[in-house]
Amino acid sequence: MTNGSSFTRRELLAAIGGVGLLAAAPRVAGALSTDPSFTRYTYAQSTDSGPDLRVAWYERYNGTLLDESNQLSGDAPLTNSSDSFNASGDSGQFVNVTGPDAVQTGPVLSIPNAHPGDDGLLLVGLRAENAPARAWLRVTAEYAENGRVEPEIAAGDDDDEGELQDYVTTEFWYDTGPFGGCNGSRSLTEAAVVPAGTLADVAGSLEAGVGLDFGIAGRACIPEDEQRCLALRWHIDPDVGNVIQSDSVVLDAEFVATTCDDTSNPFTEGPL
Amino acid sequence: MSDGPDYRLNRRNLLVAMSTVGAAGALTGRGAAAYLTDREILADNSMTAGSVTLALDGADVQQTSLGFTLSDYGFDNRDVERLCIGLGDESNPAWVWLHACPVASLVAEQLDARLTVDGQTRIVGSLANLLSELEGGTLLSEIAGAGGSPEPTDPGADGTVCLEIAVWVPEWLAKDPKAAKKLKRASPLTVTIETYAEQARHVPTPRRPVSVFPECSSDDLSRSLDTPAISNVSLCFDVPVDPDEITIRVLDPETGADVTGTVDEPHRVELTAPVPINDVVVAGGSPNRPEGRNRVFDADGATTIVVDTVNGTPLHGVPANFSQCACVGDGVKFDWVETGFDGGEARSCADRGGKDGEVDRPVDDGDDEGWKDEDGVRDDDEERNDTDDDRKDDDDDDSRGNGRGTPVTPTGQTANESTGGEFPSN
Repeated sequence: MTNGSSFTRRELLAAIGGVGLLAAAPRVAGALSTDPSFTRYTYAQSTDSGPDLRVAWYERYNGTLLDESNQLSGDAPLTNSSDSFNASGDSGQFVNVTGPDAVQTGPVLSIPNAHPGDDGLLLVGLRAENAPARAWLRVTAEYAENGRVEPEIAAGDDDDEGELQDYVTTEFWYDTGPFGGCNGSRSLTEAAVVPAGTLADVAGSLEAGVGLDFGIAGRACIPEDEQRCLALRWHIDPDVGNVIQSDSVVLDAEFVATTCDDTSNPFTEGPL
Repeated sequence: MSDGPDYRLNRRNLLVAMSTVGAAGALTGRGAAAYLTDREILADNSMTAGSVTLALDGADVQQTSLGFTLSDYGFDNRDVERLCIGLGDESNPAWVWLHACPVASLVAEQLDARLTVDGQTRIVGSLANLLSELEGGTLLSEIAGAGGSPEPTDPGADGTVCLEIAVWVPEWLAKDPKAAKKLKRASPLTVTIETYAEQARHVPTPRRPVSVFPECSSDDLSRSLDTPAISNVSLCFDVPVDPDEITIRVLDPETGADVTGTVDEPHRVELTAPVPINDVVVAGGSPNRPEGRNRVFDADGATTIVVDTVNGTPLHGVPANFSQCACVGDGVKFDWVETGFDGGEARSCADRGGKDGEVDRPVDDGDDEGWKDEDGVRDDDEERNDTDDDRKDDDDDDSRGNGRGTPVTPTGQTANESTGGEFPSN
């Protein structure tokens, strides 16, 4: 995040933290005080909302649209275009899936009967309402064998650890354009979020949480009231054979928006 | 967070950032250690691989052995084994393949067999023929008779196909003591059926799993590719012809030259007749090819023709009692006996329209091994002959030294036969 800087990450975080503490000191005093005379902070308190992160998504599986978030509002489904996501975001159809105002929705990736040769695409749009936001992502994965059917055993699967995640080639990138983002098609200029690899590799790279850098015009953050897309494309090796039969992968994707200027990892350094 | 080339922190930028953070912390009314955040969790996203399992015991390559015990001759004494093949309830639709090797082919070639599915005959012929149909893989859905373009098999009971394989010893074998002994030694005869299933999704065209099934041994293979020998030939004419005027040369099947020395079984013969030949019907003695039993050669009026059990066209729609009457009209039939053809016998079937009295009722020599209906079910005429054969079998089983195809003497005939009651009275 500070490539080319003469500061190390640690130095920078220490510096920011120090500044923050210094700046916070008066507020702490004010907050602890019952004295209403700190009127000069009331304005600040009235904007105590920070970024409101909202999401939209669609899931394609073997070329077919499986699920998408516009259905929650009954609108036309999201499609492979920036315009579709922008229209959805601008008309307030990005949703909260966590918290008191969360919509009831199922998983965004749900493949109950995967076969070798299957492929899919998951597109997630992130929208920063109220304030620009720096977005972070952490993925936690659970892999399961779910017992072994006889073809698995015959194929040499002799342990209780699932293998599916090792045979799903996965690509995860910032679907930002420059010529039309949110289209599920990766252009040469679109950077990877983490290096492509197996699903296990990609999930592993995300398990500690990474800051997302949408990098448009050099800015990592999502501007206020705009949306940015991430695309995840996966493909099960058609030659994998029987070792993956009945194996499963469960993924939780956790997005956190912080203020744009906050560069510390909320998963490791924040209060989460 | 940007790692873009334009994003560089110098001291001034950093200071700006610091002050901004500080300001934010102050403005929000929270401590800087308590971040302004929002969190959205897309949870429980899952991918679970499906499965393809065969129903028998779940193995993807499945082997099942069927044992046939053959203790007597004839279709009525057939041994039937039933085998149900399908996919597990939890399985996905799949292409299911069957495979079998031509086992113990010397025996298998002499046994008759029939494969039925839901009462419908799918394959009938020698056991070797049946197994060679399965060799290398046959789609279950095709053998089930789905027809049209191949369809994958559905999981569960809906897609399960039950095969019945019937094996029996043909009547004529009762007359061949060597074969009879071999068969007794071979019983129970084991036939191994292998099955294999491959997912249908992403596999629009079934892929024959040649590398999955074990190769059949070369011994079995070479035997199965042997040309069946000729057991008899019938020449068909417009007019009656004296058998003595017909010459038969047994040819070497490789070179086409006359064979030399003793010949155990003929594979190729040249026939020369004094008058134009219409057709020649050849019966294979040990057929092992689809429809390899009966071959018809159109001589088109020639007086010389070379025939074998491979070329020509398969004979379809064999009428009842065909062994007596390969030709419509006049014909001469020669049987192979031990090391040569017999003297031939003129047979006149007229037009099958009712020359009852004129017909020189031929002796039932029991060599009707090739003459069954395509559906494998013998009709009444045949059944009656079978009964007669059984009776004869009791007399000459193993004890009489005549080779198969040897005409029995007229004294062996029953009253029923000598009256020619069933032939060709319709």
